[in-house]
Amino acid sequence: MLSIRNVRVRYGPIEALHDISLEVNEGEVVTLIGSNGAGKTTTLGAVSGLLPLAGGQIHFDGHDITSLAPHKRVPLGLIQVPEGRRIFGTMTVAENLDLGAYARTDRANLRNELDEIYALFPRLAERRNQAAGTMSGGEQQMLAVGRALMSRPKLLLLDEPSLGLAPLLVKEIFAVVKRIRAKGVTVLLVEQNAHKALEVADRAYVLETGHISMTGDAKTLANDPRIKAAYLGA
Amino acid sequence: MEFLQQVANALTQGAIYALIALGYTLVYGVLRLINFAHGDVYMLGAFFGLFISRWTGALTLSQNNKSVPLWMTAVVFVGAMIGSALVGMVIERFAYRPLRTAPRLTALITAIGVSLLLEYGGQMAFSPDPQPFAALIAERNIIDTPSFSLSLVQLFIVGAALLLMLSLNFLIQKTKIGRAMRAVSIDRAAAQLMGIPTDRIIAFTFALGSGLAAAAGVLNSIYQPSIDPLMGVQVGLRAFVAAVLGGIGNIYGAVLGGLLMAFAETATVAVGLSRYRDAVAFAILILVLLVRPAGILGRNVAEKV
Amino acid sequence: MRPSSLPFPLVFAWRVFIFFVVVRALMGVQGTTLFAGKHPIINPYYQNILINAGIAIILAVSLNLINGITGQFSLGHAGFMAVGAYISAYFSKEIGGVLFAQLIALISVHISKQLGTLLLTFQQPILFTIAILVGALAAGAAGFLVGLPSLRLRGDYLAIVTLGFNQIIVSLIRNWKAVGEASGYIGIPKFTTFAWVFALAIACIWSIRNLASSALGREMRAVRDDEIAAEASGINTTRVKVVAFVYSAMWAGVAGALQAHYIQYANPNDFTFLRSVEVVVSVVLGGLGSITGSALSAAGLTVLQEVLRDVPGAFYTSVALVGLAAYWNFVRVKSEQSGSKSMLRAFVVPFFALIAICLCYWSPQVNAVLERVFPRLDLPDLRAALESSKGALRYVIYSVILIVVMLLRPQGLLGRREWSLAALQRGRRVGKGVEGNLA
Repeated sequence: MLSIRNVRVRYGPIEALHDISLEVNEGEVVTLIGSNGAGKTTTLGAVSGLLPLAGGQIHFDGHDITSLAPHKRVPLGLIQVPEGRRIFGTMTVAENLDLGAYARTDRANLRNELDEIYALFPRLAERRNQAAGTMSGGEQQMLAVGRALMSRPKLLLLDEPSLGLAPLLVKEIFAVVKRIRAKGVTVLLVEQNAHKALEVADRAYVLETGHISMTGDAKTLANDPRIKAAYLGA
Repeated sequence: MEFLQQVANALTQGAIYALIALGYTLVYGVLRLINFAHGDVYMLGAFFGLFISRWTGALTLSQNNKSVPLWMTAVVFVGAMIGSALVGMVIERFAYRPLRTAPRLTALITAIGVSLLLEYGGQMAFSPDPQPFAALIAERNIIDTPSFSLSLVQLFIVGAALLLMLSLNFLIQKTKIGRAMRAVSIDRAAAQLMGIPTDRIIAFTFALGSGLAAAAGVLNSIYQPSIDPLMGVQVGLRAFVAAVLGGIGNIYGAVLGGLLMAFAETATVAVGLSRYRDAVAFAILILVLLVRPAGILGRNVAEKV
Repeated sequence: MRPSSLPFPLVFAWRVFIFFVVVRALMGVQGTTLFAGKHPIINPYYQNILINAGIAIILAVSLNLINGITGQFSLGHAGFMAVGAYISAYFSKEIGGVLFAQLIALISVHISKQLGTLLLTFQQPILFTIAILVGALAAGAAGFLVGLPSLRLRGDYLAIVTLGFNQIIVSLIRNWKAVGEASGYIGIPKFTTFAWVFALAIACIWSIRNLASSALGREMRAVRDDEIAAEASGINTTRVKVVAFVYSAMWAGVAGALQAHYIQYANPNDFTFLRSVEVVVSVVLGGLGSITGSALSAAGLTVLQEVLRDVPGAFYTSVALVGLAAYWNFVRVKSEQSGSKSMLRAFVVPFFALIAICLCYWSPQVNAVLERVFPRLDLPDLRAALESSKGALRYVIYSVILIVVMLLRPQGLLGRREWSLAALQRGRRVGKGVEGNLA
């Protein structure tokens, strides 16, 4: 579904991603793990279009989206939940969710979507008219994911959803990822928490200072001694 | 009462400042840019109004002391607003958009350049001498007592301004595009990730702000019927102070600021310090920026290290 | 160079003072006719341009200290100029003469009659020196008052506040009876000559250049590049910024004093925001951070003013400007993408601009054609407007320069590079800036 080939991204004179290639197939949960500064968020930025490419190509669902503007990728079903949530703090939960569906042309079915999201995240339903910025970190993360789901994504890009959350909430978030996958949404998950990420994913890529150093089946990688030493604290 | 008269005058002036301040605040909200050229868009609105008056014949009617039909007035307004909206969009597209990723000061300098271009280009195109505007609204007093008089023009200005502000509020709070504008002003990248076409929303915001400024320009020209290419300089600066005073980025703040500036100005004149009007405006600005930079209704935005 | 215990600017101010006292004394010795405004070599018309250029150079180079080197954006330079102009003029007119006479009398009586007579022959230069100093100090004080709020503000807001202070200064002058309020201050003695301006311009460039390459200058540039990091490195950013403002304001005051004592007149309207913007144009065009750039473009713009005095001159200037913009646009597009199609696109806007300029120049003919189609539309005669509003044209050109530079070449003509005399003598341009890196 998503195919990234030989992608290079630069920040000024510095090359952050050198020649990255990865694939995500329909229905999969693929995770991209690596330490801080490896380039995980940069990779997602390239996929969602926020960062321009210095080389390479990106194909999504049969379309070549390499030079497509970010807001044009959304109607194709490519949605990102950015790092740090970045919800619209001064707007209510309901307004945030409504914005998630901005690009949708079938406004009539929105009600259904909204109900599904509230069912998935009951705490959001309670706070639907509350200003989003007044909620806790965990609730904001739920809102960010819910907002992304409002646009009926085919592929969901999740950037470090567990960042800054208490362990209990981290568990909840990953349970949500499983439920999302059960609905048929493909997921590309970027995470620093390699342990949890490898638990929930089918396949994984390991990113080290701008290139893919390893790839394979998630269970296999989780048992790999190098990965264990570097990321799983074994 | 003398006081009531001052209040009425201040309200009228405040309505005009508020309309212009709204434009500053809208643009600052989506781009974090002080659109230096905004006061000159106000001036262009007045001039567009003048040309349309000429073209529809309203000017000749008013020069012969005949009343101007309502449809002509409406055409003048709508035409001026559309004209200025287009100018605003052109300015954004060619002077500001290329500098989205540049340091803020580059954009500020460019804005100053655009402002000067409009002012002195205007002087070259329209002649620097003041020109008379059409009396689109009959100069009649609704209330006419020895100590207090309220003219139809003043009522019209406050009414029109109120109508525009309420419409704007409705647009921003209750419509899809209004929500998109708010989203872009909070976090442009996140808005893009929602599928919001941020460039188009920004252009729309400029058009909106410029249209309001044009309306203010026409309203002011009915009130004080002498227009010249530099009329936007002082008024623009005062409206800017109003926006900052109320809290730049906040719609209600712009209105509040506009009213407060007008009252401050009226008070300054009433006390006999009318020659220091401009200095007072700037003194207020400096005070606000030093004491409470977020303005009265603004939020404090800390700088991320 | 180890800084002395005195604040750096004072040290340099002192050196500058010594410098030009010496120069002036030499001039006085060589014969007053040579340099007292009746120069046999340079004809008066050109002298006028040179004097104006010198004043513009002082203004631009001093503004560069705040804007380009310290990175604080000041839009109120004309305010400091005004303070310098008015205070020095007031001193010259009202106080100076009387004080001097008393001083001479005292010296003649108590010290020596010959000394008294000697000093009397140097009355003009001494008075002028003191007047300039007084003006500069007053301007410096104003700079201090403006610098204080700058400590807490950044970027656009700082710019607006400096604009505000400019406006406030002008407002205060407009209400000061003793200097003629809004109608202006007349009868200022004509002390300024080409020699004075030349000497002071050189002193200004030399002094600010030295400041920029000193330790304090490095701190200023650190504040410009990243204020928070500078503060974290132990630099007293407060002191650095205030010093920049004060020293820069002092030189603006000097420029103001020079101008006031040249045209013998001062009017508050000459020192508004518009005048500040003129200086900003110089600095931006020359390159923020390049002292050479500021000096060159200040001189260039002064010459441009003369060229713009007639319509053909304006026409050629506009065409030249469009050509330069087209060239810069082409360079910019070439560096971004390849492909001949996009390179051609670089010329689209300049092409239309050229058409617009020609339309203006031949406006009467164009209007005649258009009026046959739209009879009721009162089309402006642009050529006539050009001829009658040359003052406006100047500002239109400045505004276009600002926009073109910011959009197409924000680093200006020289970026942060400096041209050194030594390198020029060797026959090549030095590409290294004060920091030692290219551009």
